[in-house]
Amino acid sequence: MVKRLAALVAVLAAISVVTFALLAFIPGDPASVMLGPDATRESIAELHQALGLDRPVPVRFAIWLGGVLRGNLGSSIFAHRPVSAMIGERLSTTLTLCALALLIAVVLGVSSGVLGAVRQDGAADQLVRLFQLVGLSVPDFWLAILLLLLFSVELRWVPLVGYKTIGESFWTAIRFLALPALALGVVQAANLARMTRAYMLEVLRNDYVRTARAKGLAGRRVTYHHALRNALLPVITVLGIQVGALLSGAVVVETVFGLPGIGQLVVSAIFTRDYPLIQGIILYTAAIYAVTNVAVDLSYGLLDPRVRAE
Amino acid sequence: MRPILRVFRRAGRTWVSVIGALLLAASIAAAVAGPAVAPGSPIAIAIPDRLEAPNARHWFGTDQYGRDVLSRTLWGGRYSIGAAFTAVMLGTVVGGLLGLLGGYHGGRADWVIMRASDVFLAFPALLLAIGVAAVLGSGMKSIVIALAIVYAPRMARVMRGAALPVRQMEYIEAARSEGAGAGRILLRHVLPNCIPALIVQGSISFSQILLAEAALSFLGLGEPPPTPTWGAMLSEGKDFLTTAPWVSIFPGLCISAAVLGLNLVGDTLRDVLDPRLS
Repeated sequence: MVKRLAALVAVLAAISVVTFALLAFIPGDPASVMLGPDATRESIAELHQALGLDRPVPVRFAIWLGGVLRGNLGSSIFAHRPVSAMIGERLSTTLTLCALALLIAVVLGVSSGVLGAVRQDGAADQLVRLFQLVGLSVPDFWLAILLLLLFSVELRWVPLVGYKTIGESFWTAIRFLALPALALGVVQAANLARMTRAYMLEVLRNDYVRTARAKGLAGRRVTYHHALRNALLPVITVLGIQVGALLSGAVVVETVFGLPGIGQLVVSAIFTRDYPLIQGIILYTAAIYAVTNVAVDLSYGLLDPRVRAE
Repeated sequence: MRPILRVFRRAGRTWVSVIGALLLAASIAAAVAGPAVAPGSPIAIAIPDRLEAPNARHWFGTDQYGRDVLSRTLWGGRYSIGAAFTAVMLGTVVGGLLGLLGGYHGGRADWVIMRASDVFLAFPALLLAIGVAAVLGSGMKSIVIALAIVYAPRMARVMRGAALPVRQMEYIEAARSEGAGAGRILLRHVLPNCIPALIVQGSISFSQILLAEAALSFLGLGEPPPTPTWGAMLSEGKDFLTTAPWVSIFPGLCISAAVLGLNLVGDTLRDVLDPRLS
């Protein structure tokens, strides 16, 4: 436990170094690049000063890190607002979207993976494998466009505008997040289904499964009680990686639906060359990713006594 | 050349591999020959023809500027597949060499290389690519560099894993006792034994990188308009979804087909070259 948390601190430190170094790699003077070709000499000098670019790199890093540790990610060049506040007001949308997508991915992925393994090589298994192949090949943001086309444009089940955050109206938020969550979730489900099916097949070949069947336990009970529990353990380890994929995917899918999440912030930051904002978003999401992975590792220990004993 | 024959013989046995190979061949053919066979210019604007549904003259319809979507899709294939391929190559060379070096040398060099790759792997892949590409400024070159940076650590790990057992082999010691230098041993003796792992990892990552390239261009990090890339076409098309869905549908279909082909071929290569992984 202590070892895991120490590793987390090391990872977070490494993440902050790389994120800071990103700005140092900007070709040319960051201040003039950010302000564009029309900027006056005075405004460039002013931003140069504000960003502390006249100081040596280690000093700049120390100042920046000191700010980060106190929750100050700097100010947006374009909006003139604290980056942490801008991220904060959009975080609920992105995180709700990721949570919904993860739920869909786990339910759909695990159930179809189990179905495929239990009916190995049958018609259901072929369908599950087709789903895996297609799911791994379709870009999630394109699937999002197709869902939008079908459910919003053709069937008119979900309106195109009128989103409210989960804090403002729970059901409105869920209604608007359902389609993007489905697009993200289906793609991740394909991944999970592939793993669940593979582990399930492996576990079902084990002696204790045969013993359980031999002593007359019902097939269903053996499948779900004995086999699934063991097959799910390795699947849980990939959930952490899935969260990373979901965070990245959400950034792109949000822009399809025009949702006011982190994704929209990234796109506007790219267009306005708002580097402190980009830096802040990457630091924030990488930190969420690192913490989730440690949480997954710890929960693995809780679920599997063998790991805990070590 | 026997392993290559073996790949073909094994692959020919299942229809899935055949379909994958066909999809991949079609995508590569479109990327190489597409611009030559495209019916029109990918950037010629013809406002009177704007947002035409697919018809005999424009098989895939036209976009908001009256540009032929089929021509743009074919050109887009060259840009998108070309960028992904360059990124895979760049990442393979850089990451592969570092991995080989770490795996063969061990010790401090290995530690440094592996910890550096850990740091890059600590980021959600696409977000790191977004950050790098955004900092380098939009354009195909920054997308390629960003994707290569994200991908190289993954290749480094795989190659290190492949090089580690080779290091202990007697023929390596024999080569060393004959006075061969580290560079010669790495390239002539260690590398050939790691080629299967390299091919498997490369082909599996290619599809992921193609998807990531599409996402980055979709976000507006690629070449500025009017250059057609599949991701950028999807991004333009989504504004005309209600009136002209074909602008978004065809480039998306092409991405999916190319990625599916790569995935199927990657799976086949893995089954044949590295049975332990399947």
